[in-house]
Amino acid sequence: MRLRLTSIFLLLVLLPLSLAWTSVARADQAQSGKQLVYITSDRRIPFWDIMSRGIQQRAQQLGHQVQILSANNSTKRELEHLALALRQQVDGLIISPTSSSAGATLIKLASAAGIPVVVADIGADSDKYLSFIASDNYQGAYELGRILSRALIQKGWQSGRVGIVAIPQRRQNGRERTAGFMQALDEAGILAAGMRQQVDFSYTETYTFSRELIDSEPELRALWLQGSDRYQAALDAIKDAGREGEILLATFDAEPEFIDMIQSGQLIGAAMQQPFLIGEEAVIRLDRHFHGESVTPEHKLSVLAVSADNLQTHLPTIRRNVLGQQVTP
Amino acid sequence: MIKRLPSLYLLLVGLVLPAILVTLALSASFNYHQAKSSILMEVDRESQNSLKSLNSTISGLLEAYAVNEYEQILGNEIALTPHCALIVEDFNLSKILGSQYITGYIRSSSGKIQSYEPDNPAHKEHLNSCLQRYQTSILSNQDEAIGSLQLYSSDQPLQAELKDTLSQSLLSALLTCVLMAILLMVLSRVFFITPLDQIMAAIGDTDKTGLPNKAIPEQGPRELRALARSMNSMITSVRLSQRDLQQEKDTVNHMAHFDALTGLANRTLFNDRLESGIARAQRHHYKLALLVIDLDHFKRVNDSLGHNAGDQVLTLITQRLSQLIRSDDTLARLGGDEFTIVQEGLDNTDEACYLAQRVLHAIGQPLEVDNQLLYINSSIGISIYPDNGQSSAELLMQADAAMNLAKNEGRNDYRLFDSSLTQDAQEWLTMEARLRKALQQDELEPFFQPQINIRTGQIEGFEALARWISPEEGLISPGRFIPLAEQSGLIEALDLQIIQKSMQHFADWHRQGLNPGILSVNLNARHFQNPALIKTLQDLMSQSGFKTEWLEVEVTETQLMTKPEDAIQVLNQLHDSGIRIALDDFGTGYSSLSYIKRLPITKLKIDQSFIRDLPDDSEDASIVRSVIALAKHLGLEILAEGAETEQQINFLLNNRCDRVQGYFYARPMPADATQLYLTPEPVRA
Repeated sequence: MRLRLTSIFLLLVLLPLSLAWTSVARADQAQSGKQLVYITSDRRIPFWDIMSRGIQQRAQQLGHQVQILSANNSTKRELEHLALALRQQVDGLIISPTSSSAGATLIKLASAAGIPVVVADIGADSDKYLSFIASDNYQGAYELGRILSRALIQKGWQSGRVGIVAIPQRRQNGRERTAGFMQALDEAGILAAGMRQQVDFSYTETYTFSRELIDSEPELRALWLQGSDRYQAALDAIKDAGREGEILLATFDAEPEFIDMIQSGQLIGAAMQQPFLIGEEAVIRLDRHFHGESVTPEHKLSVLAVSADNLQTHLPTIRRNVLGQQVTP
Repeated sequence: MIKRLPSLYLLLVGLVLPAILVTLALSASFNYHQAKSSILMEVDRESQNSLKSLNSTISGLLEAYAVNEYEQILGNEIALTPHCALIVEDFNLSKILGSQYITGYIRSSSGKIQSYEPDNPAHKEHLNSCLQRYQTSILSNQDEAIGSLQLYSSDQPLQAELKDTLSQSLLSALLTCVLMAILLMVLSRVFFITPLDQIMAAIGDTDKTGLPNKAIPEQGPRELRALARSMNSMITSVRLSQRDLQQEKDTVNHMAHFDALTGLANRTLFNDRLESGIARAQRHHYKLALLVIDLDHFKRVNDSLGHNAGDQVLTLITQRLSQLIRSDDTLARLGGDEFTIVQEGLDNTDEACYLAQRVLHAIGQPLEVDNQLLYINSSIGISIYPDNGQSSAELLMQADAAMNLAKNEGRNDYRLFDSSLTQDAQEWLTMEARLRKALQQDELEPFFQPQINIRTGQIEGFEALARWISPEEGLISPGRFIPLAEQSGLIEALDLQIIQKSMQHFADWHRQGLNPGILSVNLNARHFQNPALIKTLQDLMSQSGFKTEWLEVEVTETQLMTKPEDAIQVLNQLHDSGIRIALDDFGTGYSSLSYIKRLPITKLKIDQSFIRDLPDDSEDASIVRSVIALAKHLGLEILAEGAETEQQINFLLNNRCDRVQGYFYARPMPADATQLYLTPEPVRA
């Protein structure tokens, strides 16, 4: 009996010590950590900023130095950032390219210089990366589609049509979102009214597309924005079309104000990616690579499909991983 | 061993197919060069177009730093075109990166598309192997050079075209060759081989002479028809020549084996038949008889009635003999008046004797020739196989001997051969050979027997008599060699040799002052057939210095009467040249008084057979008186031969026969004894 008690005591003492030693070792390694560069397409966009913070936090935790470079949606600048990284001969590169195609160029050049690349979201027309971390767009869109379908049915608008303002479909994430959403509508027997692809992601563009969809389809009962930042344009279009209260709005991604908007019913639902978590996972993949561990080439993170019904449940996760509010950079 | 030669098929294919192949190869080469030129132009045009099109497509992308996009476009372009390589140098990116950014794609020789790696030597080497390089600058909207585009054209279309051309040419050549070969074979079969086969088949089907049985078929092309026609013409000519030749051969063969006059087997065929008959007799163990038939005194028929009559006689006798023999027997005419019969399948000799009797009887029947009835007999000798001999020569010789025996024993009869005949015949043959040799070796000499005028006792002349002094036997009797010389034809040479030697002696004696008188020489009637007789005698006389008036020619009555007309002519010529003529052995022949009157004779010599029994034989005495009277009446000199006794001398003297020749006065003497005989006593002493 005394032996058992001794063993439990030793276990309780040695385990924390062991964990502490591991942390110390990792901290030591961080002191001699790797130089990382994260090239993001546009940090002015909250999504990428939140992801940058996730990268920064996790890199700091793992003892690596990370340089955040924003291309501000410019391919040239993106290439210039890459050239800088190449000249600095950094140890690892995380990219969220301006496009999948541009990502392929970045990966090609980095690979030629022997720099491991982790692609964070967006995707790249290449397979020469170390790992690709992305949201499960299909899953998120599908669950959002189901939320919208239930809402339409509850309102008796199941015969109504759904208009889609889509991100460019040449992007893989755009295609996955459309496919998942359409799958849910099909299952509910709800028809889409039409789709417009965004080009410059401006307010005017979103507004115009929303009005066109509203005006062209009298039976329109819902609008789905595949992006989140221009939700106001859609709301304004509904309002200006005199259809306020007649057309539901759902979005992919999230903004801080969405918590209230969902709660108030102004927004019927949102499929919320977890950019903070994506950034963290990207750094983790590189770190594993530095330590010689195997890294899965592709890793999908779930998208939170939030409605008024589950908002409270997901709220802590939303605040951290989606909005990056509980983390200080 | 005949070397196996290639067939006509192979020769044709071997000649034509290479020609086709060469033609097709030249055609393929021409096509290839045409295609090459066309392809190069096409490649150039397409490359220029592609370069221009690409430039306009990617210039904006270069300007927008859409590297992956223009790289994909390059990739798509090279995938869709046969270009060897597409290379872009991005000045903007190069500026950003601080080093040249060259990107693009190359198409390896295996056709695989690879990203271009500027630092890869193999890739640079690959660019050098491309067909042609095209380059253009990529300009921005502000016409600033933002890159360069290089297009390397590929020779793959050329290679593919070459491959196609070669494969098509090869296939075409093969197909053409196969078709041509088949066509050649079929056509050559139809137009050449089949007609040639038929010609060869026709040529191969030959008769025993080696000539085709059927005409050569005139088929196929003109040349083959001409060939067949020529061959047919040649075969016809050969056949005609062969027929003519065969006819001539048959004629010659017939002439060689058959007697022209009678159509009977001649000596050659007779010998064959006899030998064959002997072989059969030996095989079947029976006897064979050979009958040699010789007509008695047939020569007289020829001499008296002419050769045409003689030929008719022979023809008639042939007909009669032909009716006597069986089909298996052989009747032959060996020459002249000599026939033979080969009688086969005999059981005994009597059958041959019976046939001989029938032959004697048949021949002995009267013959009507030129409206005259002739009576001819024959003598037959028989030899029997195997009793008398084993060979044809033996049998013939023995039958001949038997026939001669029959003749010697009175003619018109037959004799079977016995062994003694063989010895006689052998001796005869030996004597003939020896006599021929003796003439060559000058063994014959003239002996001289004086002819005495019993009224004056003077020597009127000498008869030169031939004597044969053999080194082995000494003096050989004239009775042994004169008949032999007459029968063998040696008598002419013998007479001339004796005459020549006698003339020489007489000329010598005259030169010695002796007086031998007249030289009487015997002249056989055969000389009368010699147209140069007079000249020959004159030559002999001139050679020895003998004078014509010293010469007297004695001709026997018997010989004279064989051809009296011819004799008269020759004797007239002799007489005209100054030569005296005496009729020897007078009384033994059957002289017609009309002929004697016409003969230019100067002397009659009474045959010794009439003198031998004088004076006791009254018949001989009567004949002698008649002859003497006849001579006196005709104004001829008369000389009696063979006077040996004084009684005979007295009888002749009393009957006014002044000239005598005989042993009573002197035997025939050799020349030296004659010379001594001529020499007067005082001189001799």
